[in-house]
Order: sequence, then structure tokens, then C-alpha cells
Amino acid sequence: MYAWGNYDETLYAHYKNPQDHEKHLEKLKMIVTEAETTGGGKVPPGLYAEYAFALHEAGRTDEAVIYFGKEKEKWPESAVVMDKMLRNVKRQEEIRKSRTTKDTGSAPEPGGQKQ
Amino acid sequence: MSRKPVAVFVSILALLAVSGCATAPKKDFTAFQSENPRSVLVIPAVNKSVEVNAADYFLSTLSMPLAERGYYVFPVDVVKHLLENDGLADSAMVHGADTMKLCNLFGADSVLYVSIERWDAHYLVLTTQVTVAFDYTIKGCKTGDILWNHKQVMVYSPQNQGGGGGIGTLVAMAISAAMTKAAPNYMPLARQANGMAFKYPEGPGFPAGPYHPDHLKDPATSR
Repeated sequence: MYAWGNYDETLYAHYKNPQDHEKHLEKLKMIVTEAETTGGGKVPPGLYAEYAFALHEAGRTDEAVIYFGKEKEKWPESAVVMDKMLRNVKRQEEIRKSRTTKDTGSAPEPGGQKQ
Repeated sequence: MSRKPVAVFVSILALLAVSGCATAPKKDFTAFQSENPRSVLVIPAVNKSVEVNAADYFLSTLSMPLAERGYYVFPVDVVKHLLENDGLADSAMVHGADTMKLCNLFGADSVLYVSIERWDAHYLVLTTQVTVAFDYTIKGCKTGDILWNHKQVMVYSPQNQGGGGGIGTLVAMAISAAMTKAAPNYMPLARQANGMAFKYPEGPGFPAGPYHPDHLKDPATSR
């Protein structure tokens, strides 16, 4: 029913090499893009959210918010979890902003600064 | 010309008869149908095997067969992180937690619990025998009751090849190719086990979900 691409192999590779965030993000992006285009919009449940989470971990907040929103819109069953994720993303963004204003100059790392 | 459709029909009948004989005893779907879940929360499996990474690897295999059967499946990696953030990094703790609490935390209609009973390879003189075994339980979020339970064992050894035909042979070939490497690749076997558990008509009967055209008029449940 859905355009899965190599979703299961991507997750498997992610669990095999959890530190390789960049490659994981790239693969998920490709699966999402293909599902939306050549897959005729048959985006499988959970895929937008997994992509959004990878974006969030990479510090790409604005995009993460968009894709958590897409999951919620396409799958109403996901609403409770997506609202939770959107709150988490916004909270972390606020923490990051308050840190940037305190330490004038360098931008913080995506994972957040440790003191 | 006119004989061909009849021949095809007869062979379909024969196939139905054969597969009918081979299927497991009918399951009771009363509880499942009365809860009629739209979504399945897949939580990390409890791992009883000696392979420490088996639960993580296995987690990557469940979304596809469940979603293709018509359910909304919560994003497994997001769920895993949320559970860890809530202090539930140990899967035994998650499995021991109150089902209703998990349901409320995620807004789920049902929860899939899997126990990995086996995930091992035995090195024999001339060959390697690989076994995976899973115990699947789905609990409903309206009552917390068990809606569905199934145990699936899959064994691969080169001698098994050619017996099943069709998908079985293809999978056997894929595993055989994987076997030529130093470490056995369990993934095709694990995926095949899930396929056996959740697919219709291959499996023991797993009701179709709301996104499947067979939802509520399902031959899998009225067989």
C-alpha cells in the first residue's frame, strides 16, 4: 500500500551505526522525497515523523516542525505523539535561543552546549 | 481456449485446499474485533537471546508488515527515544509497565509486545543453522486485554532449501547469499517470521486494519 523505499534497511543501518546521523538523515530524506513524488504520495505511516526526528537531532528545528506537522496531518492517530514532539522541539529551541543571547558570539552546537 | 479458465479455476481450488490444510487452528478474534484498533504502538522487544543487538535490529522489521495490513504504526525510533526520555530505556521495564499508561502516553489503540525467544546460529560440521523465534502479543487500549497472540519460529539451514517454493525459496536464497559472509545475517529470516505472523493468507490470521480494503469484511477473521 505504501512507498517504503528501503525504510527497514535504513533503520537497521541506523541501529548498527547509531553515530552516523548525517547518513541516516540523508537516507530518510531520500525515502520521503521518493514516496511523495514517484511513490504517488503513498508515504507510509511514521516516515514523516522519523525524518522530522532526525532533522530535530541535527538542530534543523524549522524543518522538524514542518515534518512532525505533516505526520499529524496525514495520520490523525499520531496526534498525541506529534504534539508532544512539537512541544519538545519548541522547548529545546527556546533553551538554545536563551543560551545564544547569553554567550554572545558563537552559535551553539546542535546537541546543545554543556557547561 | 475454453478449457483454460477451467483448468486455472481447478488449480486455484486445489491450491486453496492445500493451503487450507496447512493453516494453523483458527484464532478467536472476538476481543480484537470489539476493540477494532486503528493504531499499533510497537515498543522495543524483550530480548531473551544472547545477541545483544537483536532487539534494536528487530525493531526495524515490524512497521512494514503491520502498516501494510492497514494500521497506523507509530514511528518506532521516535517511540524508542520518548521511552528512553521517560526513564524506560530497559525494554523489560516497558513490558512490565501498565499497558493503559503506555496507551495514554502515546494516544495508541493497541500495543505490540514482542519477546525474542531465539536469535542464534549453530555452526555444524558442514553447515550453519540459523534460528529466530518470536512471541508476539497485541494488547488493546480499551481494556488492556490480550487481543492477539502468536508464536513464530523460523529455521534456516541449507538443507531446508527447495522445500517451500515461492517466497520461501527466494528468502532462502537471500539468506544463503548472506551466509557466505563471516557473520550470519538474521534480518531476512526475521522479516520472513513477521510476514508469516501478520500477512494474509500466509499467516495464522491477523485482522485487517482501517486503512486496508478488507477492514471489517476480512476473510482472515471469518475463515
